Amino acid sequence: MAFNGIIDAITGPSFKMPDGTAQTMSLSEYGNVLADEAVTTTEKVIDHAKNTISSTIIPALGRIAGKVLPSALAASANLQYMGSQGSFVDFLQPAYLQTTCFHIEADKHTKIGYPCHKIVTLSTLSGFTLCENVTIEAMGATVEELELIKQYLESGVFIE
Amino acid sequence: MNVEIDGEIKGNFSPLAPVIRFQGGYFPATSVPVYRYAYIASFSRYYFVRWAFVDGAWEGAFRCDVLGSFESAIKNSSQYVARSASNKNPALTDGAYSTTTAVYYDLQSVSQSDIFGANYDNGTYVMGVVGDASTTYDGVTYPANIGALVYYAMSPSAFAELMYKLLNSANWLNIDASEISEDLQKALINPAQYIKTCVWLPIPSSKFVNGTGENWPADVLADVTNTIKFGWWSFNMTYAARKLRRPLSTYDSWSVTFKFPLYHHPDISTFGNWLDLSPYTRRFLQLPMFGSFDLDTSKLANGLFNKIMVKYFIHAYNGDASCYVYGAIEENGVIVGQLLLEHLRGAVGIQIPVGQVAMNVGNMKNALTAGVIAGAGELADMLTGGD
Repeated sequence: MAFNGIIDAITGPSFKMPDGTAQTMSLSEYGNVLADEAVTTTEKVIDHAKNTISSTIIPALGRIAGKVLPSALAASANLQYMGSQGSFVDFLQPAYLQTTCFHIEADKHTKIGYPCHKIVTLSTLSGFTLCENVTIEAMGATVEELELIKQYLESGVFIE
Repeated sequence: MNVEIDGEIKGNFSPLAPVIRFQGGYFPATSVPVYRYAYIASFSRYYFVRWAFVDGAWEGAFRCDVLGSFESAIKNSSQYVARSASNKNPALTDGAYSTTTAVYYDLQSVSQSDIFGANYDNGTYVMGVVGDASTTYDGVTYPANIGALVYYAMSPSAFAELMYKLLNSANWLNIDASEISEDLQKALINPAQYIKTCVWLPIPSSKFVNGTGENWPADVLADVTNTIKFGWWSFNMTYAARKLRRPLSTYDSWSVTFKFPLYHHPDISTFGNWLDLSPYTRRFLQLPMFGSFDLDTSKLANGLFNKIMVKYFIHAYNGDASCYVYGAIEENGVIVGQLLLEHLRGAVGIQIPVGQVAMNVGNMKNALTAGVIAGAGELADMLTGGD
C-alpha cells in the first residue's frame, strides 16, 4: 500500500499512520532501504525507522559530507604571503673596484711623437714634428721649394 | 770633412736639382767621391749629392735640401702642429700606439662590515603592523601610522620575542576559554593578518633601533618603546623597538658612504690622461646587493679625481634603496669635489614572507555546490541499492 504518512523521526519519535492503526505495510515506494521489512506495530515501525536512519542514512550523509566539506574547505583555502622572497645574494661580499690597464707599447714615441694640436713656433720644438695646413714664406725660395717644405712638414720632420 | 771645390754646371739647370761635373783633383776617376751633402754659396742652398761617372769624369746630381736651406724661415714660422715629440696635449687621445697583452691590475675593496656593519644575526627587522600609535616630533604629537600601519624597527631578538608571544598561546586575546575554546580562538584569529609588511634590513639594529653611538636627539630616542600595539591588543616587550615616524625623518632611513682609491694607468705620465679611458683602462665595480657593472671611464679621465665614492641610501619602511657612485676629489680627507657617475635603485631590504591561510569564499561556494550535487547522486545511489 501506499505510504503517505509523515516521517519526522529525524527530529523526534512521532511516526504516525494515516488511520492510526498498526498495519503490516511495505515501504517499497521509498526504495529498498525499508523493503521486505514487515512491521506490525507503531513502535516497531518507529524503531525500525530510527534504526534505519541511524544505521544507513546518517552514515551516508556523513560520508557525503565527509567528501564535500573537505573539498569545499580545500578549495576555499588560499595560501597567501605578504612580501615576496627576498635575496641575500652578495650581502656578505665586500665591495670592490677592479681596475685593469692595458700596457702601451711606448718605444716609438720618439718616432711618432704625441698629439699636440696647437699652433706653435717651430723653433720651440725638438724631435719629431708633424704639421697640418702649412703656410710658409721663405725669402728666396721658389714655389717648388715652398711646396716641398709644406710636403715635408705635413708628413713629419725631425727638428734639431 | 768640409772642402771647397769648384765645378762646372752642365747645361741647363735648376737651383733645385743642378748637375755638376768635376774634373780630376778631388775627384780622381779611380775612386768614388765621398761627399754626400754640399752647400752652393752662389745659390745659398744646401744639397744632397748622388754621384755618377760619365764620360771620364764624376758628375754630381744635386738635390736641394729645402729644410736645411730655409731652416731659419721654417723654424721661425708658427704652424698648427698635429704631433710633436716635445710638446703634447695629455688630454688628447692617441690611437697611434698599440696595446700589448701585458696588463696592470689593481683591486681595491671595502669589507662588508664597513658598509652595512650588520650580518644575518644583527640586522634590523621593520614590521608594518595594523595598530594604533602616536609619536611626538618637535613637540607635536602625530599619529605614527603610515597609512593604516605603524612601523616598528626591531632587533632579531625583539622580532623573535614578538612572534613567540603572538603564536605561543592565545592568552593575549583575553577571551575567556569558557566562551570560546583556546583552540577555536587560534582557528578564528590569525595574528599574522595584522602584519602587513616585514622587511629585514642590513643595518645594525643596535644603531638603528636604539641609536647606540648615533647621538640622536631626545625626541627620537623617545620613539624607542617596549610596547607594540597590535590590532586591538598591545604587547609589552622585553626587547625594545622603535616606532618610525610620520612625517618621515632622516632617522628613518639609513645611509652609508665608502670610498675607493682611484688607480690610474701607470703610463699616464708618459702619454696623458687619455689612458684612463676605455679600452686602455677598464673599471669594474661590484656593490653588494646592487650588482656589478663597468664604470663610465669617460667621466674619470680628467686627471682630477682620486677617489670613487659610493653612497647607499636605504629607505627603512620597505628597504628600497638608492646607490650613488661618484668620482671624487679628496684633499686631506675631505671631499672637495664630486661628479655623479651612476645612480642605481634597488631593494636592499629583504622581504620576510609572513604566511596565512585565508578563506576564498567564491572557491568554497563552487566546491560546496559541486560536492552537494555529487553527494545527492551518491545518496540516491545508496537508497536505490548501490553501495
